[in-house]
Amino acid sequence: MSTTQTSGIGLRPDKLVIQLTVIAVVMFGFGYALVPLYEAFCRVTGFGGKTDVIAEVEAQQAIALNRDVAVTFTSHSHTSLPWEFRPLTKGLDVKVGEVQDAYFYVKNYSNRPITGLSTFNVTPPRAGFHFKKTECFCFTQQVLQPGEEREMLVRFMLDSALPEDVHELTLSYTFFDNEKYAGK
Amino acid sequence: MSETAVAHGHDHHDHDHKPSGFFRRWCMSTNHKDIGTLYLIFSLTMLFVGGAMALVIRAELWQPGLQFVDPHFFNQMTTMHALIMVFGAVMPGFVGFANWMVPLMVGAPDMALPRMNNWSFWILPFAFTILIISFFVPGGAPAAGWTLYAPLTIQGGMSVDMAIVAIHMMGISSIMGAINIIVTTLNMRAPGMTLMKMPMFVWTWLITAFLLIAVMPVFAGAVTMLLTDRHFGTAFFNPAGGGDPVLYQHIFWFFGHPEVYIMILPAFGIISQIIPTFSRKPLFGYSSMVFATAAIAFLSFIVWAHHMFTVGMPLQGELFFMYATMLISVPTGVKLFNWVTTMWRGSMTFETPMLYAIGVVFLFTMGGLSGLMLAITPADFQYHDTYFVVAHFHYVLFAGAVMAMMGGAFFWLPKWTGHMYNETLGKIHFWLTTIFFNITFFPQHFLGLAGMPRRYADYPLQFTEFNQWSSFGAFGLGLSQLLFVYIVVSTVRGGKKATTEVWDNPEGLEWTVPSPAPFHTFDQPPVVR
Ligand code: HEM
Ligand SMILES: [Cu+2]
Repeated sequence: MSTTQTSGIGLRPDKLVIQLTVIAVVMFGFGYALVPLYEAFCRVTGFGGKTDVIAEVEAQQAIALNRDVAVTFTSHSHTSLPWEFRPLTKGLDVKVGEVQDAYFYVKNYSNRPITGLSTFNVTPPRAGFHFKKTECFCFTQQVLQPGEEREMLVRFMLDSALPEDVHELTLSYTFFDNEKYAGK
Repeated sequence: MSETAVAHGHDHHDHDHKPSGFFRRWCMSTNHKDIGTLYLIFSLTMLFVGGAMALVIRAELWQPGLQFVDPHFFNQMTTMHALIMVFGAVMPGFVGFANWMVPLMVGAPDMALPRMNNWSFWILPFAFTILIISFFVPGGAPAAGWTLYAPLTIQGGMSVDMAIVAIHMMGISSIMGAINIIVTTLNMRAPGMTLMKMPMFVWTWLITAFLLIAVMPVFAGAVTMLLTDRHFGTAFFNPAGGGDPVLYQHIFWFFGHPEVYIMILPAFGIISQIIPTFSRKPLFGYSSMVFATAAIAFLSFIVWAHHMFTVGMPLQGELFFMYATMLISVPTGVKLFNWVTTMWRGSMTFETPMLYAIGVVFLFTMGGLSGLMLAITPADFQYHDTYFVVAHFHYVLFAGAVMAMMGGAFFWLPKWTGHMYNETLGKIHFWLTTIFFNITFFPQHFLGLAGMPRRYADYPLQFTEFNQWSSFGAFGLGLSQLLFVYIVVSTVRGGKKATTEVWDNPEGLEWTVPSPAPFHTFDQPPVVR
């Protein structure tokens, strides 16, 4: 197959070809490995405004500090989803360490049952990590029957490590049509 | 680089044992020179296909409002123009140069894996046929930009799938080509040709080949994830299923930034061959050139998010990617100064290849400077996705990569064809290209700074004048390339006989074989001292 010559670094060509092919295959895998790596990176650093989850008991035990943060709630429903989705609680003044509830309203305007899933995000992103939820509708798929409406709860607290200069933050939700993934 | 001398007395016979018949000669070829020629012809063809699309874009942008095409077709044009230029013109073009020149430069009789070489070329016409047919499926060709950002590409018709298949095919082709180049340079060098005696072009290609093997598979992975998001119920990038669109951008640019260096390092190599020849001095700072190239390649892996400053990264991320990006200008600067120093006090002459080399050094530097402006994070919030970015990457990609290939073509054409090209026409081509290039792209800096976004078929009235300059220049630039074809074809057909050396005392093994280079060279390895 190959014409070998005397000089070079002395590796047998077929061995080199195999090694290089292995690198290529590994790098293909690396592309996929970036998915969990990115997840982990965001979880550890709070990058991208990802929020954190804690257990109810743990939250109840936290000590409330005398530090007010204005939390605003916004929500959208993606254009492909014929739902109304808006915050009932527009905003709250929250003390750091105090457990609070916020409510959202959602209604299915179509004439078919639809599964939706909501994503969320905190701005400024560096605050996301300190936004701890104990309960949220965003963790699970929501099925709404035709015309069904629902109130949904988010229970959360801000932990005491929230950066000092954060005085206000926004929690934003977007509902997406999850039909394609329903039952998964 | 030290002097290379060659033991003469190898094949000077006239009968080349070329395979007979068109099909056997070209479609079944395993000869590095024939395959190099095929790559170069393919690249030039794609340059015209992609160029025609650019002219549709510029025609539409001659005036505000919609004149010729609807916005959806306009978006197909920008997307396909970029895909064809990047994967069809620039990358295969450089592989063509590598095929022709790497064996000649290291004193090898052929590429290490000739059969694989044939496959890596012949995949390409099929890949691009699939890509181009996508114009004719319902919904038309992909229109989401060459970056194929999710979630937009999770929607979209069948053409996106065709583009994905085409990308897989060209990825396989590039990886096979890269493996071939690495094995050839590492295993097939003539006795005495140590790594640090290799011509710069071989070095830059060796490093490029490693970049290709490292990042083409990552891109293949990204588009595979897109494909499964589209059809097989995964949700890597689709927020509706819990995926993250920003993740796509990270994966894409992890490939994308090294990719831009894949497109420029071989150009650096060509320039590093041309400048010493016409300065009649050895390349200044050879080993620093090698290390600078390696440093650029390494750094290219840690700067990708400078394409994503506006996605909402934490401050630390913005700062890291800003400084890392600026760091690249250090090794790049080393290269520029070495070229200039090579010319310094040389007995320079200005044949067409040299004009191209100097043009590339000058214009690429301008592109590098606008790159530095873009690397300043707070400034990029203003410049991102404007025509300023378009100006930047055309300075580095057209004036850098494509013009380096044109210079390289004039430089080696006598060796390839055995004839001298017409010097006057060559020079005219250089000046036409350079002038029209600047008329086309310089005003785009101003458009970008004034806030004209890229990838729109229409624009507000105040941008008209600069756009008209740009469109005028683009048509001039496009037409000038017909002259290139004319020069190349007439040089193939005939012209003054080229000598073995072609130029004045050039350095390198390729100038020790007769012109035109016979079908088989270095059957007996030359001795390099
Ligand atoms: C000193 C070196 C360079 C620096 C500092 C630099 C910096 C940048 C930055 C910051 C951007 C992002 C701009 C934005 O989207 O807002 C960019 C875009 C780009 N650069 Fe460079 N660059 C450099 C060299 C190059 C080279 C050598 C090439 C290719 C040969 C290149 C090709 C591109 C391309 C194609 C894009 C646009 C990609 C797209 O959005 O479609 N750059 N550059
Ligand atoms: Cu980049």
